Amino acid sequence: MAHVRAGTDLSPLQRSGGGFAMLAVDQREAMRNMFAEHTAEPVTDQDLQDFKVAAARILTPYASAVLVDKQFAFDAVVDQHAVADGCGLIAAADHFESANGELVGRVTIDPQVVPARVKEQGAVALKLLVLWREDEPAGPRVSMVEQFVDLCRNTGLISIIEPVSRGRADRRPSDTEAGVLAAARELGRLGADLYKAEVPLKGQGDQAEIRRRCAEITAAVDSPWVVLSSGVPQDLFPEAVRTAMSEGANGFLAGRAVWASCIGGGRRRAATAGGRGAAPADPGRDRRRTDGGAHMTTAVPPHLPTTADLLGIPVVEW
Amino acid sequence: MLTFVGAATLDALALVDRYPAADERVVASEISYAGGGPAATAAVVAARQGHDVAFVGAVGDDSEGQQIIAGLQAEGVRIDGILVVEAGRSAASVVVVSRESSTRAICNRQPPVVDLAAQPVVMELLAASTWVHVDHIGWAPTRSAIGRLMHSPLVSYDGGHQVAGFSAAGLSLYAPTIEALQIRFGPGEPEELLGQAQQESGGAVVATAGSAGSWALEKTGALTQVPTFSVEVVSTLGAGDVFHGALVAALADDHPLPDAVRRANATAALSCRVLDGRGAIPTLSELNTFLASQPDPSAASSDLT
Repeated sequence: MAHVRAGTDLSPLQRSGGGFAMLAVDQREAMRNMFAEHTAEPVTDQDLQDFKVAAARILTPYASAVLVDKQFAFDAVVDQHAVADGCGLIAAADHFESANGELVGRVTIDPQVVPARVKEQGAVALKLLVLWREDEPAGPRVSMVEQFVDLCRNTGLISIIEPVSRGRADRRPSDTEAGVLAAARELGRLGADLYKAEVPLKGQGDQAEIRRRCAEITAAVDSPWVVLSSGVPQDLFPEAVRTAMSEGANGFLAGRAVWASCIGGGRRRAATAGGRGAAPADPGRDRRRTDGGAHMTTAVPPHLPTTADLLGIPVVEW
Repeated sequence: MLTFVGAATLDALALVDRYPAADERVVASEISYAGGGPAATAAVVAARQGHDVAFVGAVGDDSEGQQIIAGLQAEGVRIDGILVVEAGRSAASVVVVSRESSTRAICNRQPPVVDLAAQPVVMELLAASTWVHVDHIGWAPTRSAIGRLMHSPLVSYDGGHQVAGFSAAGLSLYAPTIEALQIRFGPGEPEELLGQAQQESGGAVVATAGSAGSWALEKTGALTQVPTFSVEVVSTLGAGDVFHGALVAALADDHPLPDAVRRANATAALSCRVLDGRGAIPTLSELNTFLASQPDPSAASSDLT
């Protein structure tokens, strides 16, 4: 017999079979930049909020959970009841600041996200992004994760950490792929309930090497883990999920791979949204803007229902 | 070694002529307390029939947990894979068995949540096993754990409980009820349902249908209907769990699938002679004696292919 501490019940984020098929719409300035590439007009906070709410409404019937940021959309998603029954709600608890010439160059625990309050609003989990750089000391990262885990435990929320490997702060060359594994070794045993990892090698190149690196993450992390989709070409992401899961990952928490291609795709009518029982889009909310003939739909993502198929990636096969 | 992963419970059992109505009290002809849980009861069967058996599952650090562990230990089941969860409450059930309707009603408390796959002792037990049998509680953690092993043991799944999103792909033995297959695949004859299940799993499929016996579809495609045995039934509680334990035990002893199903049918039937699921599980010699007293199996079973 072994005496152990009770594990956290992760079922509010899982499909019944145990897999995680989760949607992320918590991107902030990076999402604004993605929109800005398709228009000369300013992309407003309202544009981002509308997109996130619509994405939640259309996609959460397919997702086991959805991750939303407090800054732009969490309150609106809650107030507008945009999350389908049976889909767990995750609040992003990270505050992003630009630094080192990067949009997200520094991350702290966002004091605006009050765990007890977001729990009252229906959240079952909090997520914290952690930037990992080889030339920055481990101490502050470790202590931030420990503080975050305590915060979640004290409130009865599931803790999700998302270490992301970045280049050195001093801009000298570095192996960010090695950083993906180093971050897992450093932060994967600090008590977080779920670990969100980058797909090794961005899912490209030598599949055997990707598998080997996924197995290393499995060995380094003592909780279930899922992959994120940033950096992985959209068409490769389903295969990347399967590869990671064959080596011990438990699913995905993905944003860009699901909805990135919708941005700038406004030539397709939002009103055609449908398929597989998706809630029909409301044409009245289809605010289209013109930029030299290029259309952008921010309020209603025009082909999200088809990308929802990605959330059908099998996550329970043996 | 055979390892069983999933639920272990402590059950309070009452045998009544009929169920009480709301606010009514009925006299129970028998009340007893016994260990239960699909995987744990299956483990007891395999241990009683001579196998080296380990159970993997979680209990709380409460009195029910102590009784669950003691019950398994008394049967010779290895308990080093049992995780005792601090401040956790063990799974437990209150079961009322009705003679009038030959049915039972169950209220169940779920086992504590713990990541079984994260425990080194669990990984060691799975790696050392020839067969691993899992129930609906053991399915997800076993799947996760086995994905990390260099060499996977043969995996048997008790498909009596529905787990949404479940896929049988890769199972060596998929053992649901006919009813469970109908829920999954829609109405159909047993041979069609088993065929669909085998297309998904690629391994052997055995489906039970209560008193109608069992159907066995071998990996080769050979389908056999195996009749059940007639005994004086007190309660069918746990009979399905006993069937699965006996089936895995017989397969581990290299019995051909139809013969293994016959042995499992006999073991399950004999276990129905008492109220609880474990009290009348036969030992190997009791089983062999019983089978020797029965008609020639070649006349009793029918090869449908």
